[in-house]
Amino acid sequence: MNLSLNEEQLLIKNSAEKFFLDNLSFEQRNKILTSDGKLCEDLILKSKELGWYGLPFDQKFGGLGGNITDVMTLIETFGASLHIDPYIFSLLLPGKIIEHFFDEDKKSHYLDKIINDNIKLAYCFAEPNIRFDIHKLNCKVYLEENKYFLKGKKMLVLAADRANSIIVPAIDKDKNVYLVKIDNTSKNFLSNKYKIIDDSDAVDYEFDGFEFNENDILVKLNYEEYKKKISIIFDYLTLAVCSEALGVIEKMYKLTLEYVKTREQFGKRIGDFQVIQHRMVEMYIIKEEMRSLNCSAQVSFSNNDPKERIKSISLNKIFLDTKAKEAAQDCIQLHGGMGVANEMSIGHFFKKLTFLSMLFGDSDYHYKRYELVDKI
Amino acid sequence: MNIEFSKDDLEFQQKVRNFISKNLSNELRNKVANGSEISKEEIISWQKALHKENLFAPGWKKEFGGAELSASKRYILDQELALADTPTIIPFGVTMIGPVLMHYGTPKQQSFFLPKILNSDHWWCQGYSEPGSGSDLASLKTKAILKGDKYIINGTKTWTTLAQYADWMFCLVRTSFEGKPQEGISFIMIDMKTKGITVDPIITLDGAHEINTVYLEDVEVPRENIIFEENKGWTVAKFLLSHERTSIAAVGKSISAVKKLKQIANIELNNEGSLLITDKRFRDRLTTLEMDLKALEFTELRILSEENKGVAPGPEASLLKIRGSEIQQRITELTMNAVGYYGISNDLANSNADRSNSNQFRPDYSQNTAANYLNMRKTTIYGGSNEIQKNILSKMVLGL
Ligand SMILES: Cc1cc2nc3c(=O)[nH]c(=O)nc-3n(C[C@H](O)[C@H](O)[C@H](O)COP(=O)(O)OP(=O)(O)OC[C@H]3O[C@@H](n4cnc5c(N)ncnc54)[C@H](O)[C@@H]3O)c2cc1C
Repeated sequence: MNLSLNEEQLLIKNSAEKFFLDNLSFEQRNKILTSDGKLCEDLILKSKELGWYGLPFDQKFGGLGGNITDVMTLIETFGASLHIDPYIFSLLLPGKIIEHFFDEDKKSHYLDKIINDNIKLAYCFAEPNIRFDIHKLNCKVYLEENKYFLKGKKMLVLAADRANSIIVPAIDKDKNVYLVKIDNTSKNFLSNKYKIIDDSDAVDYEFDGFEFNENDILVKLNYEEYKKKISIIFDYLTLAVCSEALGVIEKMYKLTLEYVKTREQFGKRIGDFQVIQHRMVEMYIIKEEMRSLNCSAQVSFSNNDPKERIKSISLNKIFLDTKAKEAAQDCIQLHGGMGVANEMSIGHFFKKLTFLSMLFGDSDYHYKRYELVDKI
Repeated sequence: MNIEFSKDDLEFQQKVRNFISKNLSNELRNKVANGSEISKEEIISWQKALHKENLFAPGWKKEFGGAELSASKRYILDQELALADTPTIIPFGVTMIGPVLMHYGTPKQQSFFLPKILNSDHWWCQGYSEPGSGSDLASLKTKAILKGDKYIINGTKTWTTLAQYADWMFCLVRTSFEGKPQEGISFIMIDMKTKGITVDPIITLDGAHEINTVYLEDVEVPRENIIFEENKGWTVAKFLLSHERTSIAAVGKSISAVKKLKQIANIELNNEGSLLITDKRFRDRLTTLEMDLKALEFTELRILSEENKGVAPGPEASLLKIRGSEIQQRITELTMNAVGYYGISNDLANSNADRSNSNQFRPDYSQNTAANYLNMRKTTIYGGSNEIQKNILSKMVLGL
């Protein structure tokens, strides 16, 4: 048994931390966010030199063949630095879709493109009226006079604004699922770009009889098969979200601990008050628990028992949306007025955590999911 | 024991309802309902309308132009205004400095300031907190040195709510460095147009400009602007804080917010496609929230009922602040859960962006959900943080 990071993983962690120290201080981050987007792309290109884009994928497709711990270790550092690359959505999600759904030829072609070229894809995972259930599809494909059309809505497509193409999953009347590649610059559908509270961008799409070519169908498969595959992918993605959140909480804990050690009121450090000591200890326990649950989920992935995997992932997400969220609220509280001032970094971590705690299902969704799998 | 309103109370309730339906435009109501920013002009004209019907200063004595309403009528008014989505009254004038002036002000101060507060001609802000003095307010450092018949004031006030609109600021300043820190503090009123005052915005998590830092550099303030006596400002500040603590419970606002949340849960679907309101897990959380709110409402009513008998609220009122603020936060959190993915966009940033090519899946009720959640983090911090309120309760009420 070994639950600590190996040498390679420590190297990933340390080099990432060094990269962020040099390139993404809070001030540098603000500057990048208020610029026109070029600074952001420059930073992403620079980060690719460290091999981050290849890490999650097999060597035979141009990747580095990292295992789950390698990848989650890297993503945790993103959380701790509020990385502005939407890595999970522009690399990991489309990459895993390609890996699980595409035939071998397409796999090599597309993976190579997103890892090594500067081609960006975004996958449309959310629709109105399905809440968090990624298995549901209301977006329709239909054929008329041998032409293909799309009708439906996709929302909260993250990293879509900078994607060359989006991948739209949709279903036909015979319960076949199509993954359709759509040129993001097309004018034949409505799209609306907006800001998310963590300063990232999302796009909503509405296809109202949008015509596409047969060539644009990347994959066609039956719905049951689709559900099975998409479920594994989103378990992996949900773990990535929890790992990023773990980095966020670790950093919030550190910042808050530092704050209560320096801020003085009533002639003492506020950390000298026992209520505050107890709350910091509680926070410390929570972040340790969160890391332990994260380990359990990583282990469940290598075990190949889908039930255990699903349960473990859901426990991680429930923890994030309940206990970790409360800890984050406490961090703001202990900063007093400073906690609500946008010029302090603590609030930006808080917003990131708020976003992550909802993404891919809040605690209600995951309680239910756990229950369904755990039926005796 | 009953909470039945008298015939007179019910007539009053009707009067308030009539007033609201006549004076509140749909546009303004919608803005309040979805948490959009209300402009200074909109607030002032609403307050003026209230004043015209003598509904603006329900707690003020008649001799000062108030309505001197009974506790039950004040309660009714508060509820009706909140439930009808009317703009929140800015408390700094009418509920803070007003009562202070009536209690401690000189006749001259009263006759100059009170009518202007009533008519919303003066916008007030509260200059207590400083960068180094938040919870430990008595340690404040802003200095006022008497020169002739003027004080020369130097220092920094911070977190000052809506100071960017203010004509006047009531301020705590240090006039003596001797004795206990509380004993060297004075309460003074400063004209915001005076030379040497700079107001810098502080942007909060939701992206809004609601609070400020106020720099005071050799600001000259006439000696007669002091309230009560020099070095007796702490007494005045404590008097005012007790007023702030009860009004901060926001029962009416929370009842209104829960009502809205229920409406949302009657439209939104859960993960299985049923109405969210029928989702057991969600429903239980909503009920728990309503339970706590009901307890808060009746705690406030019990305090009001004592007040009706002439017993002023004591430090117990801290419990209203603690639970009231927590409930406000929990409502916004549950609303986030209710609207799901619609709720995590940054609406303030988006409202400035170009929406020409936009498709609106987002229902109106989801506007500003995240902004409200983020904004409400303040409620457990300001007005004396909840930790400080607990210290007060344990010392003053529990005797620990
Ligand atoms: C949105 C907003 C609006 C505001 N508007 C105004 C305004 O208009 N005018 C004005 O004067 N002020 C205003 N304030 C300031 C507010 O009153 C202070 O923020 C508050 O008193 C806390 O002070 P602080 O921010 O310095 O935090 P600190 O006092 O530094 O406290 C930091 C943390 O330590 C805790 N703490 C401190 N002392 C103790 C103790 N003895 N025991 C246990 N815990 C303790 C606090 O509860 C808090 O969690 C506003 C604040 C906010 C957030």
